[in-house]
Amino acid sequence: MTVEQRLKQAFERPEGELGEEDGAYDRFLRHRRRRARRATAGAGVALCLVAGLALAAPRLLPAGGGVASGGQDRKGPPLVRVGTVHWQGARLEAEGRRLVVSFIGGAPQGAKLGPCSPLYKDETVATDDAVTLTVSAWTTRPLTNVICAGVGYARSLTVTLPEPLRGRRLVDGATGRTMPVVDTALRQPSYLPAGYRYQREEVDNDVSRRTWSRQSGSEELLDVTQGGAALARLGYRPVVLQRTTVHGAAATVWKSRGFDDSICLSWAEGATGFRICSLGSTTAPLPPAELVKIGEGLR
Amino acid sequence: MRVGGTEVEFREFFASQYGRLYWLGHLLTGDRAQAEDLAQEALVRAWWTWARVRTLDRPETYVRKVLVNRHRSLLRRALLEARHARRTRPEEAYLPAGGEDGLVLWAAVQRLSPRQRAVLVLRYHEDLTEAEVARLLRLPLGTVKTLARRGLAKLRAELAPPAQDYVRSAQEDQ
Repeated sequence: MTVEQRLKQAFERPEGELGEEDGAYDRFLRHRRRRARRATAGAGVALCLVAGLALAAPRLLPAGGGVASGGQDRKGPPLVRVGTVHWQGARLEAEGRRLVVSFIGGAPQGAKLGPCSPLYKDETVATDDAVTLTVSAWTTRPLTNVICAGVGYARSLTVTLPEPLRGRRLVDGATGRTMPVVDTALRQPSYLPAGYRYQREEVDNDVSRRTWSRQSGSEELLDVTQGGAALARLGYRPVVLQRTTVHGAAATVWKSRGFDDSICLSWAEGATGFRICSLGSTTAPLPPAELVKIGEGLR
Repeated sequence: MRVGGTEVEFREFFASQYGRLYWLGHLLTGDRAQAEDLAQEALVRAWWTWARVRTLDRPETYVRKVLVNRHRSLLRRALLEARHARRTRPEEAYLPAGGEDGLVLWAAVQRLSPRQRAVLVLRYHEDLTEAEVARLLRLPLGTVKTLARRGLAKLRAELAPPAQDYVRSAQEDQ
C-alpha cells in the first residue's frame, strides 16, 4: 500500500467518532447567543432564536448507576435506564386522553435497539394541578466507553394518560418546566401515494409536522405540516412552480432555490396554515399534482 | 422572529455537517477542544449568512472554507504565541484506525509542520486537487506541491522500516 493510500485510510472518520457524546446543538445555540450579543453592537445583526429547539441526545456513557428494569415485555437482556430526554412539544388527542410528545432522540424512529439507539419510554405522574411527563431512554447495558454520534433525530411517542389532562399543567420531568400544550385537531390524509408509512410527529409550539416515508432505493420523505396561517408563506427565495387551489383556497407549489430537491405545497384556510413537502434524497420529489391530491385529501 | 422552518432547516444542515467538520478540525489540529471550537464557529458563521449560504449549490464547501480559514488565522496566532512562550501544545492521544500501523502513521503526521499537515489533510481526507488546496490555503500552487511532496517524503521515511518488518514477518508466517 502506498503512503498516500495509508494516509487516506488513517484520515478516515471512524464510525461514531463525531467528537462528542451529546448536546452539540445545545452548545451551538449557546455559542450563537454569545456571539450574537457581541456582534449586535457592531454589525446590528438581529438574531431571533426559536425557543425550545434544544437538542438533547441522551447521555449514554457510562451506564454506571442505571436501574435494571424488568423488561418482561421483551426478550433479550434486561434494559437499563440511561437518562432522561427533555421534550420539545406536546399535542393533545382523543379528548385529552392521549398526548403526542416530540423530542430529539439518538437514532431515527424505528431503529433497532442498541447502545446508541435506546428505547424511549414515557412515565407520567399526575397530581391535582399538574401532570409530569418524563421521557426516558433505556438500552441494554452499553459497553464501557461507548461514544455515540452527536446527531439528533426527531422522534415522537404517543402517551395514553390515565385520565384527561383537563386544564392541568403539563410538566417536562427532565427539566421541571411547564410546557405549552397544543389542542388542535389535525386533519388526516385520506390519500397518500403507494408505499408511504407513518414515521413521527414533531410538535413545536402550535405547529405540528408529521412525516411519512417510503423506501425506494433511498428514503423519500413526505411532511405534512399544520399550524398558523404563516405556514402558507413560501420559504426563502422560493421558485414558484404552480398556482392552484386546495379546498377552494389559493395554494402554491414551490421549491427553495438551490438548497435541496424538495418541493412544497402551501396554503391557508382561515387561521390555519398547511404545508406539504416531498423530499427524495436521490430520487425526484413527487410531482405537483400528487401534492395537490394529498392536500385535497386532508380531512 | 424567524419562521420556524429556517431553524428546522438549519438544524438539519447542522446535524449533517457537524460530524465531518469536527473530524476535519481534529485532523488539522489534533485537539478535540480546538476541533469542536472550529466546527462550532464555522457553523455559527454559516448561520449568520444562512439566507445566502442555503442558496449555494454546495453549502458544505462553504462551511469547510470558513473552518480552514479560521484554522489558518488561529495557527498564525498560535505560532506567534509559541515563539514567545517557546513551546507548542502537546497533541492529545488518539487511537486511529489501522492498529499499530495507524499509530505509527498518526505519530508521523503529528511531526509534520502545520502547513504540511494541512495540505495532506485537505489533499487526502477531503480529496481536493492541489489547485483547490492552494486556493483554499491561499498559497501559491508551487508551495502546495512542495509541501505535499516533502510531507509525503517525511512520512515515507518514517514508515519505511516498520513496513518492511511487517512484510518480512508476513512472509515468515506463510
